[in-house]
Amino acid sequence: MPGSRIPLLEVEALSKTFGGLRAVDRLTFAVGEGEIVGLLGPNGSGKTTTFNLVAGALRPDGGEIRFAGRRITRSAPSLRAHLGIARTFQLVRMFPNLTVLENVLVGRLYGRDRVASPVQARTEALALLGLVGVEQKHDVLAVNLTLGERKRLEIARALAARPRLLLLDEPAAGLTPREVDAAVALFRRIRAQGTAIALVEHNVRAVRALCDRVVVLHAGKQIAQGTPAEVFAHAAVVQAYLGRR
Amino acid sequence: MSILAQNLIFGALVGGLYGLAAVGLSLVFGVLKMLNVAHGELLMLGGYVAFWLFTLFRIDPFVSIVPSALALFLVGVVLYRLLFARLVFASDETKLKNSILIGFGVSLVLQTLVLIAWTADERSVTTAAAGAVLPVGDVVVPLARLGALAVAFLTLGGLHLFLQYARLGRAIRATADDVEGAYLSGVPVPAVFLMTFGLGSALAGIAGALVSTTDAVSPSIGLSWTLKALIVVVLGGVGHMFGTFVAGVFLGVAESASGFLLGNAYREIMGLVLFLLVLSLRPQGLFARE
Repeated sequence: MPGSRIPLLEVEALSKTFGGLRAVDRLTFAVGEGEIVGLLGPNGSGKTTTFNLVAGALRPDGGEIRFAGRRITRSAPSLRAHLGIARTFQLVRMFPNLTVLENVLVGRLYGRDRVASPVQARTEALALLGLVGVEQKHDVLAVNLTLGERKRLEIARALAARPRLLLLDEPAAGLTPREVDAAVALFRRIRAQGTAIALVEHNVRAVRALCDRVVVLHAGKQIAQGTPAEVFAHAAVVQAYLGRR
Repeated sequence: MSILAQNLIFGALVGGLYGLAAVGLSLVFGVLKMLNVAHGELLMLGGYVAFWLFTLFRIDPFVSIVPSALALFLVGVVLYRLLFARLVFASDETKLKNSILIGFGVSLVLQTLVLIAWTADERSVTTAAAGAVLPVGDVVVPLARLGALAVAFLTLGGLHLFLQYARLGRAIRATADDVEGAYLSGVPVPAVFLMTFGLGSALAGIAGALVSTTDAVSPSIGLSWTLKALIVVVLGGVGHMFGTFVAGVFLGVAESASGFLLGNAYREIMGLVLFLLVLSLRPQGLFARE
């Protein structure tokens, strides 16, 4: 969005402690409109906790979260969804006893910019299933999908809420290289429609291909940020993240 | 033989109401993971709504289903707001235990309030059509009970359509599947909990009005309805609405069969025996798919 220079998501000095362990420690970063930002870091570095804090599944112990200039640090998750934050999970989550179409309908009926007409909601939900390529299975209960299909359904469900910011937790994990390429292409298309993306991802190829900017976390703190090329050249990153092998 | 058949028909008709009572309890349990043991008292209140509307205004209990459902919806909403809502963010285990404790308290308070307000007298509704029967071969089918079964079945059909196709119905099912996922998708989970509790209470209200068409209503009938509903929920499996209804009919038939074959003292015991058998052999319920 040219003209607006306020970042879409601003995270400032955010902290979360679990029984003495500082999972997120005075973390500050921002995601601009239409930007793709990667959160990198070894397991336990606080990436998923950060997502949970932004989406509202957890309440922070300190710091502030602003979305489109509005303070949402303690808002209900449903309000954040209405404002335009949607997320997917590392361990795919869906409504197993709802059909594939209904999974997406819930997002369309309760997310941002919701539609009143059930017919229109259904049409739009089917179009989203087409975008991710599972529309033939729209009448199947979600529990019966394969892992790859579930991941795509989850993305369709998140998109159904018309998010301005999409939080993707390891979207490429467990996918074949071919599927990773398809996912990267899909995320580019989503961004081309104006949606910003923040993603947690270990797949270096996907991160290089997608991210405009990368924020590297270690023990809940930011240790580096920059373009993927800059960050992967950074000695501290290599040591903290890639140097374990 | 025809006496046995008569007993079985009678049991099936009563069982439909067991099913309806159980569906309300099961809906609340499935979505909120709270067990409202005051469900039977809500049903009792529904019976009183029908009784008073008949006594004061000559309104047929089958018509009173609507005001009774509305009144109990409101009672449910108030009880939820005042007492149960505070458990929403507790762990599932705490939620279950504490909701049972709260429910026992509520049931005692409601019984006592009704006792003070309307005495312990057994109240019955005697409409013009009360004694009418439909003869079928050697046996007779009491029309009021047949009507109650039909209304119970239609109510469940309506509930099914609502849960399946309405916007709120889908939100309720999504919440039952994954609370956090629903909340993050924009479903206002606290409001869904409130509406679900109200809906479960309204179902108790409908069941209570139907009970008043054939049975006396008194302050103490609640506990036995809660127990029947619990047995039926276990037999049918949580979250399987028509399974729950069928389990209700099954319990009704099993009770009258054992009452007839073993003596009336065994009626109630049969339900509890089935309860224990299913819990130990098939804890997911008789009609669960997995």
